[in-house]
Amino acid sequence: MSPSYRTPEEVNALHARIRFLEEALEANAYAMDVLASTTAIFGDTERNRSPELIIQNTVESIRRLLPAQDLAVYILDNDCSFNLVHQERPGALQPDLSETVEQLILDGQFSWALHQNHPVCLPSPVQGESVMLHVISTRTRIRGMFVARFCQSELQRYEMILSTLTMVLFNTAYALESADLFQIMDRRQKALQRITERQSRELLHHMSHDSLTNLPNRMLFSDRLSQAMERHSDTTGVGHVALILLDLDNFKRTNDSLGHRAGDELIRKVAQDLSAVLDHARERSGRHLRTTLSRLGGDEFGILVEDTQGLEGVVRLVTDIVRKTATERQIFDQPVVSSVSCGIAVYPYDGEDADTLLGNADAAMYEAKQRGRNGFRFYTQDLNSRTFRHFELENELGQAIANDQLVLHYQPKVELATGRIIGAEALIRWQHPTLGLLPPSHFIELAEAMTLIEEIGEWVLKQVCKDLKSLGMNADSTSADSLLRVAINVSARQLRQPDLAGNFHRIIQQMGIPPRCIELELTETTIMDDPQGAVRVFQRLRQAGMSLAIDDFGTGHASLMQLKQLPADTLKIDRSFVKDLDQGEEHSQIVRAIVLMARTLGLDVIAEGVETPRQAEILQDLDCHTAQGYYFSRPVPFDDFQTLLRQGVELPAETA
Amino acid sequence: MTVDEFLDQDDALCSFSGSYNTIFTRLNDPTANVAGITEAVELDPTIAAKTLRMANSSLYGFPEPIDTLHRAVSIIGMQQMRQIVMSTIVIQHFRGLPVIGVDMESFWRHSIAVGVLSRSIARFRREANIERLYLYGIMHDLGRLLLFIRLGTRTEDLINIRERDQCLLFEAERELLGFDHAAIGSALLEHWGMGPAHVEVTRYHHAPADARTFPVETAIVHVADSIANSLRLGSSGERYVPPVAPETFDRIGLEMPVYEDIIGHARKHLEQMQAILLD
Repeated sequence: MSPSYRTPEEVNALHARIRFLEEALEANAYAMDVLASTTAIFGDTERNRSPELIIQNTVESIRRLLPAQDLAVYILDNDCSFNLVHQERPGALQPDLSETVEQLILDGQFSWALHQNHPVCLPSPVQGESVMLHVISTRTRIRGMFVARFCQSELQRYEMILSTLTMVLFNTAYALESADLFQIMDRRQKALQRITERQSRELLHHMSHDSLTNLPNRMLFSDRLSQAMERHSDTTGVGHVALILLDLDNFKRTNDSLGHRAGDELIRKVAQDLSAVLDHARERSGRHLRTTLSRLGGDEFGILVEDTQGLEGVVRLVTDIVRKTATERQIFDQPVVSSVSCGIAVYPYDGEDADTLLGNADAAMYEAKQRGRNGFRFYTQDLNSRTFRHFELENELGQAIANDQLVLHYQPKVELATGRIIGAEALIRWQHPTLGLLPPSHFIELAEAMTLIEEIGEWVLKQVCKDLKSLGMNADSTSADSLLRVAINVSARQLRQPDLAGNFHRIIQQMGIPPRCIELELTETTIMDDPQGAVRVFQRLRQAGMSLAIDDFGTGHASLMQLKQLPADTLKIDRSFVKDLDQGEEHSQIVRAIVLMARTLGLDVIAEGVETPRQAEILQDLDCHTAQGYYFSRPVPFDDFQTLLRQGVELPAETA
Repeated sequence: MTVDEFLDQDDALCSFSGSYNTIFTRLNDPTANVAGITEAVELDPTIAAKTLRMANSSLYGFPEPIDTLHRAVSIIGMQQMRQIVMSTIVIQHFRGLPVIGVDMESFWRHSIAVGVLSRSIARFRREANIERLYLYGIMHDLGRLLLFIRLGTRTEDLINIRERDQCLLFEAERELLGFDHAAIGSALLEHWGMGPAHVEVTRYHHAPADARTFPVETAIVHVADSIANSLRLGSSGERYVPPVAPETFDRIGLEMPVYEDIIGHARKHLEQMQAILLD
């Protein structure tokens, strides 16, 4: 057969066929290109794991494949409804592709197409156009729908393209699926991590804390102790780690008599109180103090104290603990009195490791118990006796009142002309069990620091009242002659007490002692520290009927104006002026001036520290008629003082 | 006798006549467009009518009636339409031939069942073109048909061997001829210019482990064949159920309970398919 036999129709048909085949070939080659580039769709790395990016890559691939007029991608959301996530040209053509899809959904063709795993071409409302639907699904799950609008005539020849489209969309579906799975995995992993973290936190807390008090247990305490020792191992001298072991006194008795539940309740309350004390101490110390409170088991607590400023803070803290825990608590409506005994071991003196420290603190605690409970002991005797002598003193002073160790001595005040005793100054002494009789200079400062001074002040007043009572003084005593006046020293600290006057007045009334029998002495220096406060207190004390004396007069810096305003009764000339009286004329001038001033202001005047008959003589010459001092009598115990009064002795008594 | 001799003897059996030939050739042209395929199918009114009935059957479940072949092609898909038309032609072609020793109705019921089951398995695997599995299924035993026709009265010898040895028919074939219907069928398909997948599936549907290039497709037809035999959905002369090679289930990758659904799905449409194709 030669070409000359072909009819022109045949030749045209062949030409058309060749053109078609060439176009198809080109399209096929193009489809292969797109296929080769579909790796961009995989949702397999962190970077391309977002659904938006996967859709975008898909659309880019398909755009190169299909001569579509418009195309859209619908994605199935978690509520199983289809959402339009991409449309190439929304609103550009009528009717809009999304409207056509709505109609297909209504007609049921959309859901039918979901179950066809190949492109389906449905008639479009527009003549000559088709709508192609292709499901986006993996083998197990439908993920969405691809929709395209195109000219029928354009698409028919591109069969290969349709297979490629299927592959691309299959890829898309798997990419979406893996992106989803990655997300789920990620979420799960994070949730799991959160749960694990929380549980291990709880477990750790559970393992390291006591269930009754929720305080750190022995395990955590040991750990903190080791940490603290490590922190302080290189700092020499200043910083200390103190380990305080603390044990409830007679806890077993409470447990036995009230039951274990009551015992637990008591432990819980003590734990609360200890926490409060420590909180307070930390607050007060600024940043110096670090503390850990732990329940080590039973009725035993451990306190770890790190003080960057030395051991004073530690001692103050222990003193506080002993005092504040020794109190009465209501346990299931039963009053329970409990106190604690503490043993203290200090790193590095008392041990280089946790076990040794704990053992030594325990030994110290045992000793504290042996010494009568309700107190503390340092393990190192050296610390007890030397640097910490006065801290122990403080501890003991706390118990001095209860143990009846405080006593009053009286130094008589004498009328110079007659030698008659007209009153006395009450002076406190501490009958210490081992140190003997201690003068106030040894412990009043301590008491002020410890805030014990208020308690001691009240004790003194009460004791004075008692003594006065046994001397026959009572509220009915009116005779001025028989009225004995006893002076009590009031410290600066007491002056700042909120209701000093009220307290004193109440005590005096309770004891039934005439207020005029009580004289309060304040030093001039104390008054000048807070002149206005002093005036206020003086006025109130005065109203209550007590008399007031300015002690150590001449050593402070009171102005005349201030003296005038102060409602005092008596000036007490300081012993330094009295001492030099017999040294010559010029030395007596000051005393003369003071007396003159006192008279002018209408105040009584008394001299203290009189040691020689000459001094007494000069004082009388200078118009000062009352005095006290060794020349007349030392401070004596109450019994001796009482004897002096009873016998009506005129002082100085004949001694030689 | 060799496989080649089987095919060479008579052209009437191994090639299509007239319009079938034209349609078949056009369908096998990978660059044919929708209009071309539609025109070809319309050459034979029977094939056209059956194809349209198929497109409207419950198997495709399109919500509206499809009234033209052109629409059927664009809705069902060009590839898919090829395989539907091809299977229809093959059935029509062979139904007209005289065969001794086998019930033609039963043979085609079996073939259609394997076709629908294979399609159903592919559907549950969510494969893109499930109609090709339908075609593979329909044509898997074509070699046996050819065998029966060629053997004529000697078919009885084959049956005797099966009865004597209590074996499967394809084993009897091998004993008698040295090769079986799978070899004949695959050679025929190759002769027709069918794709390599189709040839391999047919060649190894009784020995799926030997299918190297298209193991999944082969496994699907292999399993579908056994299911059809065990459910007695027609017969191609096999008395016993060919055993399933266990690894084929792994290849297909579906959980066992899914096969219940697959069988249910196939049963639902089988009767309608048989009615359309065997009328």
